[in-house]
Amino acid sequence: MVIHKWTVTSAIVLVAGFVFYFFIYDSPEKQIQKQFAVLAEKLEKQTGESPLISAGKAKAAADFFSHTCTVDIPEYDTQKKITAKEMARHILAFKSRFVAVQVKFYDLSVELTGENTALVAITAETRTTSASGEAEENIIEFECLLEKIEDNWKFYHISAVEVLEK
Amino acid sequence: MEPTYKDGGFNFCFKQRYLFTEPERGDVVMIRLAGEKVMLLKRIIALEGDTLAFEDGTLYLNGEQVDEEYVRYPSAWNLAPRSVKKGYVYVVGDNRSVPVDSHHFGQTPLKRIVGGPLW
Repeated sequence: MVIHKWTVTSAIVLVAGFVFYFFIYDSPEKQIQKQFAVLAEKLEKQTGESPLISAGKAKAAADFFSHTCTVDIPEYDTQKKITAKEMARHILAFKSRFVAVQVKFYDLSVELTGENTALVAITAETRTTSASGEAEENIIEFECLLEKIEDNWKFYHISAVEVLEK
Repeated sequence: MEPTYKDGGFNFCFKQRYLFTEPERGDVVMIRLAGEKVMLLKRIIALEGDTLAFEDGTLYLNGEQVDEEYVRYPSAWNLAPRSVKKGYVYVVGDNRSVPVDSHHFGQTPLKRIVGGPLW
C-alpha cells in the first residue's frame, strides 16, 4: 500500500512538473517566441488599413527594439545604428509602399548567451502586394541579439545571414 | 525553379539523397535557412574550385561554355568570373527570366544542403 501511495504521489508530481513547465512557466525561449508572434502582427498591413493604425502598429513594433539597434543587411546595403524612433519611421515607410504586407517567422532557435541576453536565429518571410496588385515574396535568415530590459526582450543587433554569396 | 518546378508547388525532401554520395553539377537541391520549415530549391551549377561566369545568359564553367538544357526562358545575364570556395557549391534557379539582380543565387556551404526533391 505504501509503495502504491509513493507511485501515485510521484506520478502526480511528474504530471504537475510537466504541466508547470509546458503550460505555466514562461521560459525565456517562450517569451521570445511570443514576442516574435506579436512583432509579426505589428509589422503586417491589412488592405485598407488606415494610416493612423499603421503608425500605431509601427510604433508598437519599434518598442521591441532597444534604444539603439545595429542593423546589418548587406543585400539592401544597410549597415547602421538605428534608434527606436527611427525604426518606427523605417517600418512605416516600408509599409506605406504596399497595400498589404504579410510577415511570418519560422524556425526560431534561441540560445541564451547570458542571464539577460539571447542569440536568436530565425527565418522571416514577407509577402507584399503593391498598389498595382504585384505580389512579391522575400525570405531572409536573420541572426538577432536580444537583451532583456525591464521584463521585455529587446533587439540590439540584427544581421541578415548571407545564405547565397554571389 | 520554374519551369522545372512550379512556383508554390508541393514536394517532399529526400534527406538521404547525399548519405553515400556527394552533390554533383546539375543536381537540384534543397537548402536550409534558419531551419527546415522554409528551404530554397536551387540547381548546382558549379562545385568547389570551379570558376564560373555568365555572358549574355550563357554559363561558362572553367572557361568552357555549358549547355543548360533545363533552362527554358532566355536571359541576358552577365556575371564576372568567380571561383567557388572549398566546401561550397554554386547554385542558381532555372528561371533565368528574372533579372540577375533580383534572382537569388550564389555559393552556399555544403552543410546547408538538406537533400533533394523526391520527384
